[in-house]
Amino acid sequence: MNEPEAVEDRLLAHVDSILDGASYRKRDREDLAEELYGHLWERWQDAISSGLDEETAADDAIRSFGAPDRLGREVTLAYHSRLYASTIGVLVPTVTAPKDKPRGYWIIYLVLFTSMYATGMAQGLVLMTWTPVRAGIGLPGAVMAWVASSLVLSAYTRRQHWALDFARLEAALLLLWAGFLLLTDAQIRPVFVGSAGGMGLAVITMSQPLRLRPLSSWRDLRLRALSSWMNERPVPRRLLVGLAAMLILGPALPLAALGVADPTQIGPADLHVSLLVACARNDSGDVASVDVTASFVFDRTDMWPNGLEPDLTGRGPTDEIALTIEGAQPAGVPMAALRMTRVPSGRDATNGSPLTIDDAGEPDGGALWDLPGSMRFQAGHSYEVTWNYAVDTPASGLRDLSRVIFGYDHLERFYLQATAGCGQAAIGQTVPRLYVAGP
Amino acid sequence: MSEEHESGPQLSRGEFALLILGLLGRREMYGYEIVAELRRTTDGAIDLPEGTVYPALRRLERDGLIGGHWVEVASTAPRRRYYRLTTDGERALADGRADWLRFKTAADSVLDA
Repeated sequence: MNEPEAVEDRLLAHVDSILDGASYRKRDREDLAEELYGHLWERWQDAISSGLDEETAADDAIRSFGAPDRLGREVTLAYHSRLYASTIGVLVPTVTAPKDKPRGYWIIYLVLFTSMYATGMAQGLVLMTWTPVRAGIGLPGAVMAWVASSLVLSAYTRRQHWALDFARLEAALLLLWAGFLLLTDAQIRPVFVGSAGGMGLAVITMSQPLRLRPLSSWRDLRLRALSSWMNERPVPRRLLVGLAAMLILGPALPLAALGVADPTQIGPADLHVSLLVACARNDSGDVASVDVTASFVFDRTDMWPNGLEPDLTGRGPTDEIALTIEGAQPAGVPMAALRMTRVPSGRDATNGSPLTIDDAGEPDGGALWDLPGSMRFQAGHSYEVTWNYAVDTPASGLRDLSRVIFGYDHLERFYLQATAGCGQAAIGQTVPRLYVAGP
Repeated sequence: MSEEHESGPQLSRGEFALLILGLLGRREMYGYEIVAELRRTTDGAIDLPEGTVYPALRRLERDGLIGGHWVEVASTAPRRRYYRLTTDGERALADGRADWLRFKTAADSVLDA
């Protein structure tokens, strides 16, 4: 036969299991616990008086009192709204109940924290560089992923071992996502950085002893997935579905955002490029100098085309322009050399302000320039860039230019190219890539 | 794992609260006593899980309809928290009773027809 203290401990444990599953004002705990315990104690005493032994009387008192999950929910409802009670009010006690920590918890704590931090930073960096609509889609996913990670971290440090399995699943999904992105887009370095934390998480969590048990019922899944195995309290199905959705949408939304066409960003139809080539000839009729004028007008401009990063750091990708001049000479005549007589100049033809142009080298045989002010181009303004060339070789016999090719690259998203010969004008057309091979 | 203990008619939270106010309208009571009195008065027709009375009491207290105070009973027994109606609680009980009678009359007129 048990000592009375042992039975009273059972009654106290029942009270704890009710209050551990409830959300209420913490300063009320003592009063609530005393009141609930007093009821159980009196019921227990009455049952003993009616002839039951202490254990059976305790069983009777506990059974009559009601199931902890229902009573916990009722207590929560006494303090909060129905919506709160069915969501956060269930979740918070789930992750905050038992305080004793599992063996080696600090390793998991460290790794989970590092992983969350790295992932959060990575997602933050990605969002910083994303266009508004993409960021708007990806941000909720980032928040959900972070919340899910936080819950896992909190639950694990309180010896709720479902968190371990949850962390493994999260790590596996993170790795799959990172792998997919690395295969499809090598430019996403922040995601790669964030994934490093996930890899560490996977390695560490996989090294922990497996605590999986075979599923026997839907209730078992609810217990396993979201509640503590220590207090055997299942979590409402709606919350289970909600957290499952959070787990999936966390990585899925940022992934989906990458493929979304953002209507706040311009396309090729919003940019108009034109080219004018004027050639001066000598007395022999050969080309002596060439003046090239390229103009471009935007119908509208991008909204935060590279996220907030350029505004905050002053850096970011710029538009680029390229020019290639191909000569055409009679056979047997030495190659004429075109010499740029001055650096190309640019201006906003609408208001006359100068346009900064930076030399960016000569890849692919064509000369390339950056337009560092392109982030501030205004819709409806006409921007002009002019080049002046002289034919260096005297009496070169350069009868004509076969092609002058001007290209405009908008943030490596689309390219417009215009091609004209001496005395011709041309309108830019979309081409798959900007730079064409030079002569 | 304890089993859910419930029999008799299903009460909404509002109806349960009204019954508690009705009992406290007679005299001060503590939780265990309220449950026992409810069972006795209704001949066991209303027999809810006993613990549900405490969240209901908390809600009523939070709404200012009842007030509670602790009473020492014996050195070997836990204290009891007694509740009594406040002025607002008396008014709520009167309103609730009137509403219930109107509802009962209306329901009877349908069911007895």
